[in-house]
Amino acid sequence: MSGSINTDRLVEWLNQNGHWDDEILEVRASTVGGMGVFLRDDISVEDVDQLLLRIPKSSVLSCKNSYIYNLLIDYQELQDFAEFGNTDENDDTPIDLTSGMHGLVLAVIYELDAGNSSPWYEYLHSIDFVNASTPVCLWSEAGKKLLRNTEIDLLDMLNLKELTWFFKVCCAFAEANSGIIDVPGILRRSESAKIAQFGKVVTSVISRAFEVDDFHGLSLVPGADLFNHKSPLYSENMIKGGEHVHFMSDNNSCLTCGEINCADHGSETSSETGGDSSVDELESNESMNEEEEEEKNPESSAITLDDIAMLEQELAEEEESDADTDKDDDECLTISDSKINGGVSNTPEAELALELADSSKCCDITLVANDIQPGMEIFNTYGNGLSNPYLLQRYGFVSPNNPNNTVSLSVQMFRYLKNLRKGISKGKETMLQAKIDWFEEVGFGLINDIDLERRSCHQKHGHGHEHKHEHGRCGEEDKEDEEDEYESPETWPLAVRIEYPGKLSIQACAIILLLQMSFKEFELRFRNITKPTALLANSKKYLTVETPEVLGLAKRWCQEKLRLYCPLDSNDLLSETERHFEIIRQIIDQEQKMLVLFINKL
Amino acid sequence: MMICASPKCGKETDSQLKCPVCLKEGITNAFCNQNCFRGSWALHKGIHKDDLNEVYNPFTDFKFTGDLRPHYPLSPRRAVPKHIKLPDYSLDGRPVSEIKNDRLGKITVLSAKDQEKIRKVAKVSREVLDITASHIKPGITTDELDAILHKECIKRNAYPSPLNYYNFPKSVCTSINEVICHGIPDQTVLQDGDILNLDVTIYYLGFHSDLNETYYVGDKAKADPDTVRLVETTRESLDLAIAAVKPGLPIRNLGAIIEEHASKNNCSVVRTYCGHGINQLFHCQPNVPHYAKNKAIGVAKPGMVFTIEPMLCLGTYQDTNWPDNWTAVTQDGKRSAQFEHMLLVTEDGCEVLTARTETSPGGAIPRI
Repeated sequence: MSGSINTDRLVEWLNQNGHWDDEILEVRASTVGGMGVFLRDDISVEDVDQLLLRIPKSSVLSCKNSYIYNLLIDYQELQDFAEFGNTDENDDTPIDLTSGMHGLVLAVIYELDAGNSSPWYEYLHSIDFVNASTPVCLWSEAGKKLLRNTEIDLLDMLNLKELTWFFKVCCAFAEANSGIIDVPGILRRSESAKIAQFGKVVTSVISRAFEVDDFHGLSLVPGADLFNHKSPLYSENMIKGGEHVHFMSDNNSCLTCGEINCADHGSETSSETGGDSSVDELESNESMNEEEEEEKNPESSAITLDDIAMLEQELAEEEESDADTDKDDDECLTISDSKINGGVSNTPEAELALELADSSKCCDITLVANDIQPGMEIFNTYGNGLSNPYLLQRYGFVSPNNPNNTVSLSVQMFRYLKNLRKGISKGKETMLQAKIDWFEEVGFGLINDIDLERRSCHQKHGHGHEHKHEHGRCGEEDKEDEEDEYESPETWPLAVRIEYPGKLSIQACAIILLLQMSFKEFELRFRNITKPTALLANSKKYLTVETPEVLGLAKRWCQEKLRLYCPLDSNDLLSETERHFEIIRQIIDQEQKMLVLFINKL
Repeated sequence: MMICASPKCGKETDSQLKCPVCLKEGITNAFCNQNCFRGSWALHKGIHKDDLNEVYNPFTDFKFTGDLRPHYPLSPRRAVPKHIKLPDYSLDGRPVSEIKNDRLGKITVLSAKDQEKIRKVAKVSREVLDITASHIKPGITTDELDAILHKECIKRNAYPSPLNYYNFPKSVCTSINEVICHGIPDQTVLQDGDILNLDVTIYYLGFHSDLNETYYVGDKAKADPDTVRLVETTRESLDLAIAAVKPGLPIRNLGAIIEEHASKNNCSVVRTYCGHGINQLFHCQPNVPHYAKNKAIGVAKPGMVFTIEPMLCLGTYQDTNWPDNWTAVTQDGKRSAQFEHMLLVTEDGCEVLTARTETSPGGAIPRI
């Protein structure tokens, strides 16, 4: 990953705290910048599903594993208590420091400050916090000005408020605990430059964190973050991941204690994997026996010497079966052979081997592609569904020709609505509002359903389905990537947009058609209909056809939008770092291209 | 009415179900039902007299790692009078409140009032340990020490916490020589030259108090340089760790202090067993490992109470269990020693709640 340094010591740490396949992996400078993970030159991999990295969950850096976790809990309890008595409506949303990104950032700050007494010292020193990317909300005013009206701006990512508030909360936590732990340098509020450093820690953490499970939540998984991002590919209306590896982590642990198959805390656990705690096992066996025997009517018979003979025999058998312990896990053998030196052993190495043998207690990086040649860099994906603003916010970069990009036309649409309302009668105004209300409550959902159906037709083998764009070859695709599946926009105004590479969104088309429809038609086709199938059919028929009128209006909105971008000239380069300028140029360029492509197609 | 003879049950019963062997031997007892009998057979049979020897080793097929052997039968479960407040596991062996609380991440901070209570309980536990320890001499059995301890607890209206904790059959842990911890008091006779650890926990006024010390049995033990080096190094390592306890201490840092002192004196540190938080619960957060490079969670704060109880070994730190599933011994059979104190974190350091008094038996001796 860009921003990875001191990787030799990190690999050493990985070998001591987990499984890192040193024989086939090599960490060296990447062509995309920073460090990357490569297949060794003399190695070829035939095995898909090959395990490259395994880290026990007990060794991930989560806020629950960090030494300050009890302080986080205590502080949160105090805050909740204060909150309880406080009826003032506060603009700042409360921040939960005991979980999620917020807890993790604070844990990382304190672990960093703990120096080499932190168990993650070598790992943390493989992260170049000083040269990490600055969150876009902390960019210079000049840079932010250039980004006005871009998606970054419209998603409110230039706003400093959220970061400032988080910084304030972290400082307050540090202050409250300053009696027992020195305030970490980064959180000494007196120095205003500190928020810049703080911002870099935030971006470093966000860009590297993985969702481990419901117990640990967002966590840093040493080694897993070494892999660089491969942008997804776009062809034939389909977004296809280009990554070679996946991050995998079982999520069947108890929410309360994190143990697999916990029987004590009443949260859902899967019962597929065998429990490993000998105490638990013994007890569950006992209770099972008890239940079985209950049926035999225990009170009835007296104890005879024959009973005792049988008990003795059972005991002898038990002892025998105890002798050969149950080690039937294949993985246990492959990983642990080198680390278990035979017999009962509780050396740190054997403890680690035992932990690694239980995949449900670990997170993995596993190979999922088989087209890797010797010496090639092995890529992960940071998300195949991320548009440039989100890539920039989370990872500090944008990707060229990102197929997930969209360009919002909502400002233009609202201006159009405002003009529509001008000079119309009260009655007409009510009718207009009725259409918009209907779309917000009913229509938007229907259109999203149609949208999803069409998208999944592209994804699956869509032959036989009736839809407009069916000219796509259906390629092989990865069905595991549920997380990368397309998600509908949260609200309808967000959905009024141009989509990659330059087409009008189905929702935008629908709202325009609805606005242009006579009120009578609207009542007939939609407002007075309650039967869902009929509504869906009418939506397909009347709200998805790109008429020349629809395209004409959309074109006008696109032209208006194009005029709003800040022109870039070489003077701007002076005020902004070259890296930021390049990103700004990329963002504006890609947005403009999409708009121009749409206009020119007409 | 009598108490069910199953060491795992502890309920009162008027059942007439009797063990035929006991009946023959003239022992009066009864089991609630077949389940209690069958479920406890492995333990219960220990009280039967062996036809050939009065005292016997129940695990003849087990490969013992050192010279020590268990000496059964175990004495019957000792009764606890009704007026004594019982912890939740005293009947069925399951410390439900502990299990529920486990790994929630919160570390209890005691109020001033509760601190006063646990201070009092700690004093009582020290008394009980001292009185029991004063009887240590060659010739006494660990079961006799258990009887003394049990009586001293009852006398003070305290419950001996180990009794039936996860079905532990006795009131105190007695760990001889290669036993690291959790030895079960039985008919073993202490020899001149042995070392013995007494691990006492009592439950009183709603709080547990936990402490242990290792004692030299007779003068021969005090004359063996390796034994003295082990015992004194362990004692010192605990003291060094205690000196570091103050608000703000990351619990995980204690292990390095203990391990450093152990290594300097050519001893190893046991990894399997840890110190623990203690209050209304016998064992709770924080977990306190005694070895370096651990990932324990928690920062010390005023009002917290936890134990530090390093176990050091002359040879390997690796442990294994006897078939009784309690007795933890070193894998090489070499000796192991342990010391434990219960600490209250104060504003600027800590208070050793279970500190020795001027009259406490045992104590440090010079190395040879």
